[in-house]
Amino acid sequence: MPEVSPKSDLPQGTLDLLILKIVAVQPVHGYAIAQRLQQISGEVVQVPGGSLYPALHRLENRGFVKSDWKETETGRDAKFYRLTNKGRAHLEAQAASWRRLAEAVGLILGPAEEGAR
Amino acid sequence: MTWWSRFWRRNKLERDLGRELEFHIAERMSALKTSGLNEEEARRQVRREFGGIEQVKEECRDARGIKWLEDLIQDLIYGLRMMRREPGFTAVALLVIGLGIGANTAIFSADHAVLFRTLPYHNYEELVEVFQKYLPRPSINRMPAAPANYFDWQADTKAFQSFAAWQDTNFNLGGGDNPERIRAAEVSANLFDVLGVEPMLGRAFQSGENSPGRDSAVILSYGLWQRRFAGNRNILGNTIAADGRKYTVIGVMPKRFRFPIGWLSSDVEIWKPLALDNSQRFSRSEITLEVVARLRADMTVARAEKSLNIIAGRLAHTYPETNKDWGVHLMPLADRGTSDFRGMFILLSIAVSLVLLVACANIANLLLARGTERQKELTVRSALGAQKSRLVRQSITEGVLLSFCGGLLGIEIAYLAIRSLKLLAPMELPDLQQAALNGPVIMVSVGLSVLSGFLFSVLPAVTLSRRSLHGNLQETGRSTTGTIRIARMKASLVIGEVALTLALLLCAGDILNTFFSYMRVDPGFDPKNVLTMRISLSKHKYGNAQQWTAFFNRVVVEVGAIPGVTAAAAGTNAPMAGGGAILRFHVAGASAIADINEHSIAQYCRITPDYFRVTGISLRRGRGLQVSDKEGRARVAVVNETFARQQFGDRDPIGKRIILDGDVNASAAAKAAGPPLEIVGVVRDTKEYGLFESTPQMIYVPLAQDPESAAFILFKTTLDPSGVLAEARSRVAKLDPDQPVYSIRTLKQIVLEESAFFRFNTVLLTGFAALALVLSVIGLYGVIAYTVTQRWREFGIRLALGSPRHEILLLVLRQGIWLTAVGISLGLVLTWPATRLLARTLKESMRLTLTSTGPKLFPALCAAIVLTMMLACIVPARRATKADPMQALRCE
Repeated sequence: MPEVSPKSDLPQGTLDLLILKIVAVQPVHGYAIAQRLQQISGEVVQVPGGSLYPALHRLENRGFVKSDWKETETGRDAKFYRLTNKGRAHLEAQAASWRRLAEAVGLILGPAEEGAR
Repeated sequence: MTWWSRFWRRNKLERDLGRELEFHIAERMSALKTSGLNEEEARRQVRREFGGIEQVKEECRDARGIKWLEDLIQDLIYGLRMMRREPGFTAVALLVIGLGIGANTAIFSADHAVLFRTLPYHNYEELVEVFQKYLPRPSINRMPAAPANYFDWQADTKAFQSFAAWQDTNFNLGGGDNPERIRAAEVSANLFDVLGVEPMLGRAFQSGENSPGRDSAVILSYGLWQRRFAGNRNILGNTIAADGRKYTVIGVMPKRFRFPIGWLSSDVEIWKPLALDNSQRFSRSEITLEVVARLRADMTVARAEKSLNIIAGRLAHTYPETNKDWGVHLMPLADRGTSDFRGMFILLSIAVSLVLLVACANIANLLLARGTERQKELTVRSALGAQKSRLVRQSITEGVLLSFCGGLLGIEIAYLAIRSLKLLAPMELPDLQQAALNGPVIMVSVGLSVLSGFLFSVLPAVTLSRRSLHGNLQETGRSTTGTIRIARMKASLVIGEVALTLALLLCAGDILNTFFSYMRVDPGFDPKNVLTMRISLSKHKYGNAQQWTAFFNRVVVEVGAIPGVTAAAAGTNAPMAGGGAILRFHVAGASAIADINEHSIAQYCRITPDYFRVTGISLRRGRGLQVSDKEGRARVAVVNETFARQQFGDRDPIGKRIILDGDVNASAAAKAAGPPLEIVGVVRDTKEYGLFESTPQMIYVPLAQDPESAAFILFKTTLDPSGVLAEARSRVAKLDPDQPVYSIRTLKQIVLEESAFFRFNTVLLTGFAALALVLSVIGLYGVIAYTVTQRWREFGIRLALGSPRHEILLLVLRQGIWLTAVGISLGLVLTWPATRLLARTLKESMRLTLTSTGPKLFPALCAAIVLTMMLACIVPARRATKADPMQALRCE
């Protein structure tokens, strides 16, 4: 499966959206977010550290996530991020508009594909 | 977390970031090792996936959003280090900037005090002064109002909210050992309402108090209350005695309050109600009232003036004998006393800004020179990945830092400069004493330094960073395009400096020339060792004219008897000090002239016989005034040369008769034709109104024949008059202990004060020109020194090839001459508009004509500039001759 490098393909807003969604479920640290993204998307989305961490920090600056240092199961200390109320509101708004967009694009592309067959 | 807290905790954030990324990498490594990779391969894999850790960190730092602040601080610290490392350069730069900013700050504080001052009244922009305008000669538009007109104007409620009137007067506060003459004003009861200011203590006047007999309430100024009544809080209700009357104090005005604002040296310190009796109230011909009015909120001065002129027109129609020739003229109260000087101040501000420009050009030059020395450092940094914008930003930050520090020095300099300004300040500008380093002035100063910093660092920063990216790390640093461009830029800067300097110098030369030629003007009298003082008799104590004459005669005799006094006199005028009245007259036999012009009016002086002796005004024909010309005898007069010439041409004026037609301020109907006066003598012209003004026609009559209650006492001494002053005062006090003596000045002081404003401007302008010259010299030195450094190897080679040392010297000097010459030519182009501007401003502000030095001074100034420039070049030129040929060849 080809690696989709979000640096070139995933616009920043989309990456933010995905990160927020993952954080919404439960507090996670950065490595876990990268893993989860990979898992859930079936290896389609792989985020190098160079994109993930700046995005996380930007989200934190804007007040969408909050971080705490906690101990992991392995005993190391890691920085856990969790969603704030502001973040939740932003996530819902962005998700809604993304779905609308995806639907619209799908509608345009869908019938055309069938027609090409 | 706000960006502010992010900034403060950035060290902790930095550590957290490191830990966070390490955690990620460690986890990934574990995962990879579990899936079978060894340590080495796992690490490589992780690095490939993750990306460069430093770059990730950098991106996260960017995301933190405080990078700009961190960069700024880094730049500032770096800049400070640089400044410390090159103390010589820093010292010169700070001095240059300090001088430029200091001069500008000082001038701005003067501007602020004089031009931008705020008046201590409520909404003072709405206040205007209302004058009567003499329609046949519209330039006579600041005449006081006749009371009946004033009351009729109040019908114009469309344009005006309210009117108030006042008159200048004086109080002789008697009593004790310190009788004092206080300037006072009689005001309408609502004046303080119109101004919108309430007394600090007590109350303002009530409308009933404007009638004679019920006008004994007075309000004191803060200054008078402190000075003479020790700030006694129980002052209200107290009685004070003045001019034989008793007054009750009903209020004290606040500290900052002044009214009227003007350019007289002393302020009004007592206000009393204006009490017009019936004959005065209905007079349309006695123009005695100064009027101030408040416009309605949406009114402009122009529209209000038009509106009021409609009423004036109606009055002219209804009362043609008195009002036919009179309209109204409005002037904003804020303009009082400053509108004349505005032009001059603007000119001075422009001049001082030019000096600052020259200073900036200098610093830019110095920065360029220093920058090329730091070339290697910049190149290394850009090779390491520094973006051009970052380098430029850093250079600019350093420049602004330098400029800011220079600005701090400038504020120190400004402080000294402001003190000197105040000492130099002419009497016409009492507001100048308010000039200080207050809030707005300091803000402007800081703003100017930062702005200059930008100005002079942008050009070098951009130029140098552009060059550094060409990347030349080699030792030789041979001539590349960049060096030539830089050299050309420096050359242009210096040429610009020289041009500006030349323009300033020529203007300064012109104004100096004008100043000295005016100072050489013969005043017509001899001011040496003559003291003047004024006495104003209170009409209550000295009821009739005979008492006035008697008193002044006795004073003259007493003062004249003092040892050391050669002559004493009294007079309603003193030369150049004003006083007396301006009267209309006509020659007996001709008809009265209706028009007011130089031929129909004359300055009227009443003097005791020794006046001409005291003032050194020489007699030309006939005789002076004598003791025998007293009351009851034939009325005589002495006129000046201008009078004789204008009235009688070549014919002998002696024996002719003239008739006085009354005060020029009175309107035509109030003609009070006096008895005919026989001309018995002609005296020399005096510059009565000032060295720069034209001489008026003058009529001198014996004080005994037309007495006055206020007069100057003048006396001439063999030695310095101030030694005799105490004795003179005590003799006057012996005659009347309650009689204050005031306005004590020597004639020399009067003459000096007269030209004080002119002197002020001349000194300033000359100072700026000199400053610009100094800065240009520094600038040229910098350029030549830089060129010599650049061409060091070339000189070495030339010397190795056998060129004599003096040829190297000439080579360098030639460049200096070339730059100076081009600068001078450019400066010539600039000079012409500059001197035009100077001439026009001089004419508007001081009614002076600029006597240009023209072709005379120009070669001298050019030679002076060239000479000073050559001096600047000598040191680097000599250094050039010391170039070692061996060293030069070795450096290849």
